[in-house]
This record gives sequence, C-alpha cells and structure tokens, in this order.
Amino acid sequence: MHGYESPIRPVLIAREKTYKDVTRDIIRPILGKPSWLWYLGLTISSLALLWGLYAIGRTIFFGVGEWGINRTVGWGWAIINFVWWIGIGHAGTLISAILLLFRQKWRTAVNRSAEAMTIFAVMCAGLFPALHVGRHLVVFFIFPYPNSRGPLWVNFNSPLFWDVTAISTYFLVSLLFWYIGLIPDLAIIRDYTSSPLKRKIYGLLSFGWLGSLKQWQRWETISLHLAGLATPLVLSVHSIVSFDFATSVIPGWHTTIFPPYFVAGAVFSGFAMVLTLLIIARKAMQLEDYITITHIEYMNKVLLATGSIVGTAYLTELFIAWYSGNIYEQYVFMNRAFGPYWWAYWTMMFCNVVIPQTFWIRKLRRNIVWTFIASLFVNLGMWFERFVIVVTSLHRDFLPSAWSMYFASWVEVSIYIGTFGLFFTLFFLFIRFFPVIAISEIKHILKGEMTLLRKKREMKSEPETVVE
Amino acid sequence: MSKKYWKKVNGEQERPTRSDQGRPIHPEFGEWLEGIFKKPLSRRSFLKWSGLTAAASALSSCWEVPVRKAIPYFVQPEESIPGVATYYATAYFDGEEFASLLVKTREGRPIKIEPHPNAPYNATSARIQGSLFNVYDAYRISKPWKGGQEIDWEKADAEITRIINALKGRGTVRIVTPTVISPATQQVIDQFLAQFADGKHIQYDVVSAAALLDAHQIATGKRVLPNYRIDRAKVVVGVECDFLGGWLSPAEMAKRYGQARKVSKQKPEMLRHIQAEARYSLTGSNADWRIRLDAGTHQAFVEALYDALATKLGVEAPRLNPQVSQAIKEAAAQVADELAAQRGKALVLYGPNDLRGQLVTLAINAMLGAYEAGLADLQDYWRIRQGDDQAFVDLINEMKAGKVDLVLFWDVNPLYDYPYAGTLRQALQKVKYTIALAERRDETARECQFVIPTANPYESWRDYQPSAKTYFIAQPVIRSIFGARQFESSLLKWMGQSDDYHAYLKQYWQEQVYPALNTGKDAEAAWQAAVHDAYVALPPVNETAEATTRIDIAQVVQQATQIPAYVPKPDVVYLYEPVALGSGRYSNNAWLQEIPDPITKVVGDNVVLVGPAYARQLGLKTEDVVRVKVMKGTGSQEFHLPVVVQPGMPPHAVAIAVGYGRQGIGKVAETGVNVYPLAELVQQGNKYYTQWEVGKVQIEPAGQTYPLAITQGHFRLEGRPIVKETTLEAWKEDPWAGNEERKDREKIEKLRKTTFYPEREFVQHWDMVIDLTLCIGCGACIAACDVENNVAVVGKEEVRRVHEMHWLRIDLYYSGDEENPEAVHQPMLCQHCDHAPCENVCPVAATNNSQDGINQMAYNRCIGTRYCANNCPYKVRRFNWYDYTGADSFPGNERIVPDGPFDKDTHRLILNPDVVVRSRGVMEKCSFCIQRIQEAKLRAKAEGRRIRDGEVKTACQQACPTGAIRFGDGADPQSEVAQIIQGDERLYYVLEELHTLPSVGYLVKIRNTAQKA
Repeated sequence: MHGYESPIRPVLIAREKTYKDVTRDIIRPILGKPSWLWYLGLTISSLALLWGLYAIGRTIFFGVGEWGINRTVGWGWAIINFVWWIGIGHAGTLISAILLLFRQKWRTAVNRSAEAMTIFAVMCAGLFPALHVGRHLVVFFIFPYPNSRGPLWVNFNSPLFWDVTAISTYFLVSLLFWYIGLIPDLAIIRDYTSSPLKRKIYGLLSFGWLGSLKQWQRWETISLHLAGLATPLVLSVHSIVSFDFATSVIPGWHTTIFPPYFVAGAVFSGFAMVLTLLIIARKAMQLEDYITITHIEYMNKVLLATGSIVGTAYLTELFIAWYSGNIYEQYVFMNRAFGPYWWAYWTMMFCNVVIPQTFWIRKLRRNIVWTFIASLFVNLGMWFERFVIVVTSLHRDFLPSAWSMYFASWVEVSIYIGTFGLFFTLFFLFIRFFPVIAISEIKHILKGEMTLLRKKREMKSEPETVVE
Repeated sequence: MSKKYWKKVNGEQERPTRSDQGRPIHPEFGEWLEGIFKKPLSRRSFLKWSGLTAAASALSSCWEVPVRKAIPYFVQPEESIPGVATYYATAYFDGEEFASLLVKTREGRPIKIEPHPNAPYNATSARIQGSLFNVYDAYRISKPWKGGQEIDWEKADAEITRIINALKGRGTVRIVTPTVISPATQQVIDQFLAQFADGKHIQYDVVSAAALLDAHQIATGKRVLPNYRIDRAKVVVGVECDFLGGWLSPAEMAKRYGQARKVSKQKPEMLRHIQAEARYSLTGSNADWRIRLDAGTHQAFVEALYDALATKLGVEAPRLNPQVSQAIKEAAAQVADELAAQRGKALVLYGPNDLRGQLVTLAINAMLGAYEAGLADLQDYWRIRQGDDQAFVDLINEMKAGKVDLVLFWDVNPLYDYPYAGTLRQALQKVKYTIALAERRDETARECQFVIPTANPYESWRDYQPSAKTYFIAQPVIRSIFGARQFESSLLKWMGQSDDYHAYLKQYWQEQVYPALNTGKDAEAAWQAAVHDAYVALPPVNETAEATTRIDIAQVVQQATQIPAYVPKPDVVYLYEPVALGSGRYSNNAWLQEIPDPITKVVGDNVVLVGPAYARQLGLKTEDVVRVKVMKGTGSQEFHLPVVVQPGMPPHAVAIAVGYGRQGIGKVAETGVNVYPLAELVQQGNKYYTQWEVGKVQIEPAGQTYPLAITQGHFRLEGRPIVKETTLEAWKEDPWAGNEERKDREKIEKLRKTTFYPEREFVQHWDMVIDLTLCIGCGACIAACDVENNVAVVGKEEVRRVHEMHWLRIDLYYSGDEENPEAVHQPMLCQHCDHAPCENVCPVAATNNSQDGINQMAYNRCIGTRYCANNCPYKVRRFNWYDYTGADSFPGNERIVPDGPFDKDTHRLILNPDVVVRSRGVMEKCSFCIQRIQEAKLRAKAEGRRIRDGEVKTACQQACPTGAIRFGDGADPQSEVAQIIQGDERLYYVLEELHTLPSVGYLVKIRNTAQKA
C-alpha cells in the first residue's frame, strides 16, 4: 500500500514517535484510571439515557399518543431523529471504507472513532422506527420470515421494508468492519495490561490474536473485502432512507433529487459529528499528535464539498418547484420559507448553506474553535433539514381542510435526549475500554510519516502542522 | 410408495427397551427432567424449584386477565337469530324533531337508526342518528328518588297515589311536558288532569315557535304550524331562520330542500334559496344568495320586504316603512322582485320567535299565495310545536302565588333551559308536591320531591301525529334496560288503572283511529299491520275547525303594527341550537358532542361567534376569551366564553350556541357554558315570547385565551381545484361548466389508463358519488358513520391535539368576501383509490385493495407506522393514538372518554357487533361499510344472483337527508352510480391528477345564481 509520497504533503503525525510511543500514547487511557471528568460525563449521559428510557416506557405503555404527532402530521421527531442519527452514522463507514479504497492515509487517525460513532448512531437511529409504530409488540411483522399466517409476507414494495433491510445490513457490516479492525489492537491491550481479569477479557475479545504473518494477511484481506462491501452501503442506506419520502405522493417529499441529496447531507452531518467529537476527544485524551490540524482541515474540506452539494440541492428544489408548475409543490416551498415554520427553514438554510461556505477560507478551516462551532451548527442545521422535510411537507399538503400544526411533546424530546444519553454512554465506555485510534493502522503509516517528517526537517522547513 | 415397516414381532407387545442399568434408553421427558424425579431431592434443589414455582406463579398472576361475560340464551327468543339483525319500524319524537325510523337490533338490542323506507318524515339528522345512545346512558336512573334518596317503586307509587287521591276533585295540578304530538298520550294526560278541580297541561318548548303559532291563530283562526313545502317551491327566503340546522324540523326541511335542489338533465331546475341573516348559519352557508343583515335587523328586513312586495303587487294594505339601510332596502326590493316573479311558488321563512315579524312574514306569504298554493300547507299542518310561552309564565306566577298543589314535569328541564331558571326555582319552593318523570336526575329532577324513572321513547309504546294527516305507531325496540316505566304507564298507575300502556294504546287505536281508516281488515290485523309498518295515512283525526287559507292581509298587518317594532340595541347576541347537539337533550351523548359544528368546526364547547371586522375592532382573535355581559331584570349576567372569528357576521352581532354547560348528568355534558339565561321574555301584544335575539349585550375581551378543539383550521382553497362549482345558468348552457378540465373524455380515459401496471378488470366495483349541490353539511352522515362503525370517541382534549377519529368529515371552504362569504361543504372520506398511495407504502401489507375496488384495512396486521396516513393525499386515515376503546391487551392504559360509548358495559351495548372495535396503535378509515356489502354479498350468493342496485346502502348514504350520497356497483352498467360515472358531465374526482383513481366522485356544485360563475 506504499505508493509515491509527495514531499509537499503535510505530515500526519506531528512529532517523532516510535512504535512503542504509538502504543503507549493510545492505550494510556485504557490502562490508567479515568479522570473525574470521565465519570461526570458517563453519569450525565447515563442519566439522560434513563430519562429517555422512562419516556420510551410511557410510549410503549400508553401509546404514541404521548407524542405530538397527529392526524395530519403522522411522523414527527421520531423520524426526524431517525434520519438525523442515520446521517450521523454515515461518516464512519465513509471514512473507513471509501477512504480506504481511495488510499487516503489521513483516515487512519479518525477511522476508529468514526466507526464507533457510526455504530452507536445507527443504534440510536434504529430505536426510532421500532418506537414510532403503534403496536410495539408486533413490530416483528416487518421482517420477512416464514410464518404460520399463510405464510403472509411483508410488502416488498414498501420503502419502509427497504429501510429495515438497508439499515440492518448497514449496521451489521459496520459492526463487523469495526470489530475486525479492533482485533489487533485488543491483542495489544491484552499484552500490556497487568490485570489478569482484563487480560482474560481482552484475550477473549481479540480471538487469540498472535500477530502472525498469516493472521495479518487474512486481516488485510477481510478488511479490504468488507471495505468493498461497505462502500455501496454508504451510498445505499441514505438513498433508501430518502425513498421513504421520495416514493410518496406528498409534495415536498415526492422528489427524484432526494437520494444524492440525502447521501450528501448524511456525509455532511456525519463529518460534522465526527469533528465535534474528535475536537473534544483529542484534547481530552491528549491525542493532538495523531489527530492533527491537517486532519481537521481535510474534514472541513469534506464539509465544504458536501455542504455545497446540499445547498445546491435546496436551490434545485426551489427551482423545480417553480418550474414544475405544480401548485401543490409550489405552495410547499412557499410555505417552508414563509409559512408558520419559517424559522426552521431559515435555520436550516443558515446552518447548512451559509456556515460551511466559510471553509473556503483557509484560516477558518484550520481554526479549531471555529470548526467546533461550525460543526455544531451543521449538526443543528441537518436536524432542521429533516424537520423541514418531514413536518412542513406534511402539515400542509393537498387538502387545506386537513392542515394542522405539529409541536413535539415532552415525551418525544425526552426520547431524543435519551438517544444522546445512549450515544454518549456508549462513547464514554468505548473510549475507556477500546483504543480510540487504530494503533495498528497508525503503525502502518508511521514509518513513512516519520521519513517525511525527517525529510521536511532536513529541508529546514518547519512542519506545517502546528500543535495547538 | 413408502415401505411398510412392521411394528410387532410375533404379536409381542412393544415396550420400551431397557439398557443394562434398567434405565429407559429413550427417556420420556429427557434426561435432565427424569433426573429431577429420580434423584432424591436435596434441600438446595427443593428451594430452587419452589422458588421457581413461586416466581412463575407470581408472574403469571400479575396480569389481570379481563373477564368477559357472555351469557347464552336458555330459550332462543322468537324472531332473534344470533348474528342476524332484526329491523323494527318505529318512530321517534324528542320534543323537537319527529322521524319515522327503522331500528336495527341485534340479539335484542337496538344498535342503529335507519330512515323508514316508505313513510313520510323519514329524514334523519345527526341528533336522531345519535339518539339511540341515550337509551344506554348509564346516568339514567333505575329507581325512583325521593328527596335525594333512592326508594322502591312500590313505595314511590304508593306515596304518589296517596297524594293524588288526596288532591282528587279539589287540587290544582299542572303537568309540564314538551309538545305532545301523541293523541293517546294526550288522552292519558287529559284523563289524569280531569281528576282534579283545576288540572292543566302546559306544553313547554325549549325552542319555542309560539309566535309563529299565534300569528297563524290571528290570521287563520287556528293555532297551527303550516307544513312548509319547500320541496314544491321555486324560491325560498329564510330570514334569520336556520331551517336546515335547527328551526322546527331541520331533517325534514333538509329532505325537501334536497328534493327541490336536485338537478338533472330531466329536471334542469332548482329551488333558489335566498337567506337574509346576521348569524352565519348552516342554512346561510348553503344559500345561493346570502344577504348579510346588520345586527338585529331581521324584523326590519321582513318589513322592508313586505313593503317592497306589497308595492310591487299592488296590495292594499298599510305600509310599515321600517328603518333600514339603503343597501338592505335595495336587497329587499330585489328579493321582492324575485318573489313576485314566482308567486305561488315562493315562500318566506322567518326564524325568530317574534310575533310582529311572524305576522309580517305571514302577510308576505299570503301575498305570495303560499297558503292557497299549499306551500304553507294548513291542511296537513304540523303539530310538532304547540307550546305557548305565556302559559309557562302563567304557571310560574301561579306557583309563586302558592296556588299550585302538584306539578309534574315530564321530559322537560326548565331549571336548565328556561331563561329565568332562578325565578322558577323560587316558585317551585311554593308548590306542595313536585314530581319529575325523567330519564335522568337532571337539573329539574334534582329539585323535585319525587323523580320517577321514565322510559326513553325507544322503550315506549306511543302513537304520533306529527302532522294532521299522518299517524304513526311507535313500538319499543328494547325493554327498558334500566327498569324505567313509560310516562303514560306512570299516570295510569297513579290513576288506579292498569299500567299496561300497550293495551291502552291498542284500545285507543281501535276506538279512535281504526274506524276512520276503512281498511277492510279486521281490527286485530289492521293493528298488527299498523305496528309492523309504523305508519298509516289518515284523514285528520280530532279535527275541530279548518284553518282558513283566506287571509286578510291588511288586517294581519294591522295587528302587526299594534306590536312595537324591535329596535336593535347593539350588541345583539343571537342564541342558536347547535346542529348536532340540539337544545341540551343530547349533551351527554359523546358521539354527538364530538361532531364538529358544521360552520365553526369546533368540538365540545360553545363559543362566541364574532365577525372578522368586529373582531379586529375589539382586538379579538379565535380562542380569546370574552366577557359577555347582559343586563337582565334588575341585575346583570356575565359569561366568559372563547371567541371564534366567523366570516359573514356583521359588526355588533355575536352568536352563542345553547345546550352546553349541563351539570350532574354525565361527564360528557359538563362542557361549555349554559347561555339560556341570556334569552329573554319579550311582551308582544298581551303575551310573552321567549326570544333568542337579545340586545344590549356588552362584549369585552377578558384578557385570557382558551384552547379550542377545532377540526378544520384553514377554510381557504388556495386556488386548488378541490371543490368545483358553477351556476345554474352556466350549467344549462354547457353541462361541462366548472368541470372543463374533464371535457375531453377521450384524453381523460387515456390518462386514467396510463400505468406501468397491468390494467385491472373489475367484475364488481364499489363507487360512490357525492353531489356537492345537495350536501348541506349538516353532519347526519358523520353521526351515522360513528354509530355504524363503532368509531371511537376521543374527547375534546384529544380533538384539540388533532387526534379525532371520524372516518367521514365535512370540509368547509369559503370563497369571496370574508364579510359575507360563499361556502361549499364537501364530505371527505376514504376515496378507495384503485391506485391507492397508502397501499404500496405499508410495510406489512395491512392495507390493500379488494377485488371489488375497496381499499381495505386488516387491523390485526397493522403495526401502526402511519406511513399510509402520511401518504394519503386526502388525509382520511385515522390512527388509534391511545386505547380509546378498551380493545387493547394492556390493562391500565386505557384512554376511554368517561361516559362515552366505550366507557361502561351498558354503553357498549350499542356497539355494532359486525364491526371490529379497533385497538390501540392501528390505523383505520372508512370501509364503505364493508360489513353491509358482505351481508348483501352473502345474501345474493345464497340466492344465486348479482347484488341489486341499491341493495347495499352505506350508513352515510342512508342518513343523508338530502340524498347527496349515492353508492353502488360501478361495474354494473345499469346501476345509478355507473350511469353517473359514464354520463354525468358534472362528475369529477378530487386530486385526479395524482392518478390515484378514486372510487368516490363528486358532482360539481351548482349555485342558482343569476350571474355566471
């Protein structure tokens, strides 16, 4: 996998490191005692999770009537959050799979946490379709399995069924990909830990990894295969999620532009979430040497690109609405911008279209504070994008007599908070028990990077990367 | 061929083979289980197993398994086949509205009201459709009460008989009832009162027509209501008269209105309807021309109309010269022109209980020849209102003076609905004995010494004579389920006679009615036939003097001028009867409470309707609370009510519905504010009249808001071709008028057939056509659908959260000036699309299309993703957000509306056993009354024939008083709907461009306006 290295390319590891340094730096938080901040974080997030579980309990016991959805707006925060979380979950696989195939070495520093994020986000997302149904006890009807009811099969025409298939496949492949990547690193922890219990557990988790040549060879092969498998999934999952809307007849939903627009939006929001998390994690876990400004800049470039695609899609929608001559379509877009939910539309426009355009400026691209703020804006904006799509299309569709408003109930908000609880609880556990950066992959590029670093020093040019 | 293995060798018995250790090789229960029984039980495993057993039994007993009682018949009753409905012809009168009915009963319990197929007065309104639920109301009393305590029947009868015996021949006794249209009941009352020295029967009408009656007394010599034959009219003018929504007999009037307005190529004519009103009424919303009157000018308007018409026709009679604006004067002149042009075919209806106005209106109708032409028919006159407001005033005065020994109230509730209830309450204190014969311990019954449980009309034998020439025998459709006794039986019992009213009625019939019939049948057979049919046509019985149709107009007007004119003193409040709920009788009827008001679409509250301009002036918007202050007598009354901004209402006029704010008769009824105290008694001539148009009211913002449950929030069409309309003129010129998009039939057919999918062939295809010209928006269909299909009641709070469950709604769209808009009512229900957007998105195929074109729901397959509802362009799918019905398997999470139809065991008796009660979390919607289709299919199949056209009627179609809904097999070219679909140029489909191929078509609304659309 070593090709020609341009000497102008920025270095991906900021300081001189040995293989041992890499191991030590990365597994330090796992072997040591966690700080009080970690405990605080875990407590807050698990409390949020418990609160969400209470809201979920109410939903299951009393029914989805606990939510603010109604006759006209049948989907609300649940579906918004579902699409949002699925979008968040896009960056991981994109980074691991597509960037692996494109041989983007900078991915090595971020792929592990991005993949973990993907899995946790998909778990959060997966909760919503299961919860938003009316009859939770028979939700298994949605799986096509041989049964004694005829057998009665699912409706293969329904995008919701495609959804179930796409997301469960995506989750499975992402999980496999992530876990297989973890195996060599888990073996390192096993070898470094002094606790016999931990050694036993990590030994089990690493499936007895020895680091033999044959094992590495097979490991490389399966990684590449899974990358190949995951690549179409990155594109398909959100395309299929978009079919939920695109195949309907509702103006504002019934749009052929949705699949690419949704995929771009998903990558956009996924990278924003990766940035939000990594900017905190690199600081908290002192991994600035591995997750460098260069990494952040690269990701900001992705934000800029996908943000521009999303912005173009918004404008295309407006143009098509006007051009189509369809009065219902036209009304939906007028209503989005100037109707009762104008604030959602303009929040979306500001966060998703205006904010990423700042990344044309190199200074801002490499400014950690601004990147952090921008990433939060993008997360917010992408939530509002889904709100705009789901709610403003439904609340005023064809027959004016049926129009209504939708406001989330506290139960819906609590479940959303609960998924944050779930996400961060899992994330805190992850950073405590698993290496946040793929040790083996960093070691893989270490030699080349160190050569580059030395070469640059020899050229008496300061490395471009400045550690904050 | 499989080989045959032999089982036994040499006839030896097969037995389990044992190994050397003596253990069976194939243990019966598996080794581990065998081991348990084999091994000596250690203390440890004993504890383990007993712990498991305890835990398991504890767990299994945690969930209470609901006990559902089902008691079989010991002896199967005659006529009743389990699972097969029995229909009984009967009739119903609730003191306001009369209807001849067919009552569907299942296993002995009445579950549905249907119009009588071939008797007059068979139109149903929402109230009548829902009235059956009152039978099962758990707030009905089952035992007599005395002084706030339940007592035994024997004791109550004994005590009352003692009182009556004591008063016999000397006492002063009064019976207060609603209008009695039953001749036999009247005879019982008369016999009862004859026992006393001074006995009097007072008919107390909540919605009084005393002025209309008295006007006819003055003009025709007979105190009767003319039978208004608007079906024979060419022009009808309603002046502040909601004849389709509440006035006299709205369902019957709606039926006649429908007959007169139905247009076809054979009859390209329709009734022209002009409405002059201040309150925006249901009737006004249907008018071809609505004249918006200024606050309180209804009387002035009829006077202006009278003047204009008298001048036009050259009638020699005094002129009235009322004070009206120039605009109104011009409008009156124009109306007069139209009326004069249709002399003998025109009718003016005047709503308020105002003698002067009624006299003037009577004079107008006389000038128009309405009496001579029989449009205001005095031969077959109406008997449905006979009350006299003055009589009740006299009664109060008598009571106050302590002159009355005994008052019996039957089926009236004046302490709730009399404008001066406080005075009445004081007067009642001075009466020695008070008895209420009531179904519930209502506001009046609670203040009476005795309350006698009285049967509902559906539990009673009764005869009815709603008009002079019609006679009905109503049989009970259920034995009184609360053990109540019918009113007549109570009176008979207390008179010391047999309380068998059935025998009494039969005897009355044989003596009084049968001889006049000349049927040729013997008395018994004729009686049986009469009971079976419920109806016999009569020459007028008990007729004394004929009313004259020769009316001396000058004299009538002279009489009118004796009465001081009504001077509007703004603000004027218009009280009105809510269309679905009536005057308060149905307040605890959850189904009726949940039907949105046809105009405001408000559920479960009475509101103050304020016009848009006036609302702006007062700084009010919908949901703001106002203080309504009225000076009355010595003090002032204040009410706090929320506002709804109602287009079409003039400044300084507000309208409030009566019938709300009831107490102590059920939780459903306890909503809104009782505004009867706003009404006032006005002296006209030498009599008092209860008037609902009250001046000198102050409206001021109270600075609060109140969340209202409104089912439709947007009344503008936004330029969408969802309702189509045209004018009669334009339609006569071009039958495609208003529907030009469908003119190119070939193109339409081609477009309809353009699809990726194989074309479907239908042997049978259920179609519905709704004529927007005929739909008046009254909501009878909604009530019928609710009862037929066990539609859940969700309560006001849930309706506010847009969670209502109605399968059928009526959309209202306004057009034109918001100060006086035109309106269209459009019933909207599942369109049963052949290419239904809901079907392909359901992940579990719970909704699908049947072979006969019905979009059907499999409730037990539905998992409730609501994707179908989102994707429904018509938004007609309804979701069970909570367990509204108790059908769910979770105990403890029910959200059943207290006192609603799903609340109590007795209430649930009304549910239709042929329709599944939907559980929480499933989607539901209109099924085209699939249970009725299925029943007809089975019948047709058994008889080896095709289903006949008209054999299946949906509940909404049946209930529609105007006949706006038609339903049938569109694949049968002879059927009515197929003819319309093939041939009627007015047919269109809503959102046809989506290629959903709906099965519900609409016919373009035709307005009878002179101008072209």
